[in-house]
Amino acid sequence: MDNLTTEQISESPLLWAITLLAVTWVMFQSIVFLRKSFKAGREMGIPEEKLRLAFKTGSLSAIGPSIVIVTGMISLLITVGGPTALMRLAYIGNVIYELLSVGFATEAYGVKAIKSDITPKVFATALWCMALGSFGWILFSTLFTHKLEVLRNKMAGGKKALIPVISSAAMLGAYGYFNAGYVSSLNHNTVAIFSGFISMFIIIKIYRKTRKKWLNEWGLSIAMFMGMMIAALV
Amino acid sequence: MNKNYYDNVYIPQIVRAGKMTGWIGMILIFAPVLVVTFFYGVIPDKEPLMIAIVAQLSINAIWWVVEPISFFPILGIPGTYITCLSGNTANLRIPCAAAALKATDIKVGTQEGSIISTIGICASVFVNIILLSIGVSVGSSLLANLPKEVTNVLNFLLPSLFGAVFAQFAIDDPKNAIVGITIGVGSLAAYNNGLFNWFPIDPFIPTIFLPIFGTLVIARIMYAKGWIKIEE
Repeated sequence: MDNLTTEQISESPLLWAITLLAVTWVMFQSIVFLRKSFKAGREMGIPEEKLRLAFKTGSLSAIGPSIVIVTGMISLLITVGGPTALMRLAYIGNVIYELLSVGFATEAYGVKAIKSDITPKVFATALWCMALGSFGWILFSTLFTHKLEVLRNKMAGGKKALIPVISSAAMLGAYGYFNAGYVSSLNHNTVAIFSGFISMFIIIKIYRKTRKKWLNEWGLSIAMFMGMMIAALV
Repeated sequence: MNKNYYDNVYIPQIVRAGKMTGWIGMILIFAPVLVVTFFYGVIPDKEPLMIAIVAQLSINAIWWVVEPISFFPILGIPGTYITCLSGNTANLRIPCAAAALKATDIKVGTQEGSIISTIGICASVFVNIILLSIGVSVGSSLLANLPKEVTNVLNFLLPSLFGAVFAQFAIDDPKNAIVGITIGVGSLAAYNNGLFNWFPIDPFIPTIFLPIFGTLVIARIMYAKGWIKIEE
């Protein structure tokens, strides 16, 4: 099968089938976790409406970030084809790492990361980079996730009551890390992050006064959109 | 109401399901490349393959460990299993978990919080896959022809989202918020000025460890001193 072009391989029904399988597997995991979480929530006495609200809010809040992921997918679609792009973005991957893989593979062959330069061998090299570069995340989590709880308890000094305190601190610390680049770049990204922050702040304040249900569910999406528009218009 | 259900039933079930989905997930990661290499017979040249793989691993490998540990206090056991299989942690999963927690007014890190954030994350998995599938079927031609203005504006969506998520938590926890962003910006500045060059493997590691675990440790100190309290 030496005569196949990159496109014949990268868009082959076989790769589409594997992608379908992988995406189904991710969905399957989420369905299993979702059902167990709803059941546990009911057993623990969390009101049904809160469980449903969590699902609704999670779904609504995923729309904006997913649109960003979809637009980021364009460059992958062009270079490595539909199945690989879809599989890598629905499954452990992340646009930045996947583009790096394409970059490393093309560099190693001394060619450009454009469609016409990606021979089947370059394509296969990129796939090896993607697979080997990411399997460790699953390996680590499969082996050690259940043991990390011990670590978290240690961080809380063995006090169960402290876990929410340190978890909230960790959340703020994590966003301190995610935000640092945008805050210090002092450009439109900085405007975006501040306007997103202030929009959300105001929305929460209004929600707490009015208790409007839709504001609670759509709040993050509205703030995200406002922050984006303000940054674009400034 | 069953108080021990979480520890005695839910978590053991989740760990079992998480391990099972993880092991099979690991095989699936290699399926495309094995098919291309052995079924289609496209065997990459050894030398460039090695160069590319070493380059990739030198960037990724340490994050296999750093990320799950760093995000564990936020995601808990179920969330860690899902994010390691479905990716997009910072730009999608954590914001959706945070939004679900805030909308239901349930605290991160509690057992109820773990259930709620898991539901939020699962929801994000479905929505993301649906939108990605639409994107792929619409095709690269249409997506690539999006007006430049649209893609330019979309670039601001992620920073705006990060600011908004930060606000959701900062509003109820302003002291830790100030600590978190200060350490975050400070560590990045230190990294940019080469102050972490002594750090083994990847000098970028302190820029994630310091804000997360620094804020966490300072929160403990502030709690011990009575500067922050646990509201019931």
